[in-house]
Amino acid sequence: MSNHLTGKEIDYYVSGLTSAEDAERVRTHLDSCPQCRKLAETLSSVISEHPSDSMPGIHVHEAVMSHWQRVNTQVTEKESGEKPVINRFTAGLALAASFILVISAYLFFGIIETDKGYSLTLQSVAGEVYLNGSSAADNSAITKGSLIKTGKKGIAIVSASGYKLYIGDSSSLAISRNSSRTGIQFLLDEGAVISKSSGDIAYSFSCGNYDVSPMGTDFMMKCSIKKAEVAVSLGKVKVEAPDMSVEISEGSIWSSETPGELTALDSATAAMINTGTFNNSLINKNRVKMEINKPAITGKTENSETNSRDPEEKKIRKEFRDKAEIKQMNRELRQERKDINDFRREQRTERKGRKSE
Amino acid sequence: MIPRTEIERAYDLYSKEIFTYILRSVHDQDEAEDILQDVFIKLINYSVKSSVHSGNIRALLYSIARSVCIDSARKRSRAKIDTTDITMLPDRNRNNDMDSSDEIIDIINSMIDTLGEPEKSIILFRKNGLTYSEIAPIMKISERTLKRKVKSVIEYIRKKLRDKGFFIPDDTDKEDESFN
Repeated sequence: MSNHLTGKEIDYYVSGLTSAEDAERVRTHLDSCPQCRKLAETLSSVISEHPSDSMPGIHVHEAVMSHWQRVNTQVTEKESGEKPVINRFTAGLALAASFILVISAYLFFGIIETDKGYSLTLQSVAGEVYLNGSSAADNSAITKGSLIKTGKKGIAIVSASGYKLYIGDSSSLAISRNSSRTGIQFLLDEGAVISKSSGDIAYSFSCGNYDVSPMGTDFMMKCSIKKAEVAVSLGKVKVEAPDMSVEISEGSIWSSETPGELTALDSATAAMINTGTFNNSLINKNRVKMEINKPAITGKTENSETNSRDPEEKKIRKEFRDKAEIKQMNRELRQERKDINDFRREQRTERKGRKSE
Repeated sequence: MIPRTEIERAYDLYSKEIFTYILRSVHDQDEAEDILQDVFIKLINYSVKSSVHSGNIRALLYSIARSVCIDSARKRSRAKIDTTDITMLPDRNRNNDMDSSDEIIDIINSMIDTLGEPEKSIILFRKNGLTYSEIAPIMKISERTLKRKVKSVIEYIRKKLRDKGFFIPDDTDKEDESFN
């Protein structure tokens, strides 16, 4: 063999990059050429296995195993520490689930209950009285969502056991809630009402921005687009708005025009409230007085007058109603939340009681 | 977490070869032992969160060992610059018998020490008896790339040896450029 392998050929061969046929040729050459063989062998020694006799000391093994022991203890402790957390978590989850079940059952039956509510009837006393857009028959049943409107000379009474609500003329009143659990909510859009309660029915009024919650009383309430007025002859009434809250004591009149002060109840109004009969001249006088710029506030059923309303007023009324609706919704939500919280509190105390036993 | 039996088994099976690799990297028995201990400790810690089993344990040990060796080499180079241990280098003038295989192996080993990563680890893994297919996953490169890297090392060593006058066949480099 005259020609030796090139360095490159040997590099490729030793590192295993040579193709099969080249490898064959290289091997043939190496068999016959001691020089090339020697070089290839030397270079192969670079990457060939060289067992070593060196051994690590036994202390390394001991250190490794003791580290394993340590880590294992930590991991086991952590796991056993986690277990109660998982249990507590599961327990919490189960509790939450049972809560949701109970509450949904509670609310479910609550809704059914709400549907029933108090049995309310409408008595048409005089003049035009409309229930849900059609003339109201005497002793018609009223449910949630009913809308009562009285005409110019219309007077009606909403009654339930131990409760009477006298609706004055040119008024518009809706029942926004009737639930034996959360009480009755009246939405006085406009007009005047006299509320006389002798029972324990829970009820409240919403009048534009104002929430009127009586605390067992006889009172009269008037409401128009921009003004609310509450006259109390017995007990106390609370009026709330987003920016104010006032308690009207017995024998006082509150007006939204002067929300910060109360005026004394005049004898004529007191008599009106006590008898439940509207003194039209008094109311109208007041009304004219309070609605000096808009004297023509009457029931919507009065077509001629409805038509006479300017668009701006309609807009205001609509905004007013929308606001009232939103408020109503929020109030209901709040009430529900409160119920849930009460229920939770109850459960908590119950649990505590069980524990202390 | 790796079971005790598994870590015992891994230590019995692989501690010697990992130790050999480490020792070839650091040339110091004590330091190599420290590194070996570190490697197994890291493996145990790793096993707490990731799966370690007989199928991947050897590759894991090698790849941990490699990174620990690189770290320690970095530390060493920072700690003592210019304190190259010249006793590790073969004494070229000691003996004129250039064909002495012991001497050649010494020279080759000293050349391997001067290699950079990943070439050095690849060569040391090969010396530990690992095959290309075993090294490739540890180094996370393909076998083909691996072989190319080995080739470049072989080439480097061959040229170095030729420079030193070791058995270069006649006209070895004549056809270098025409091959392939």
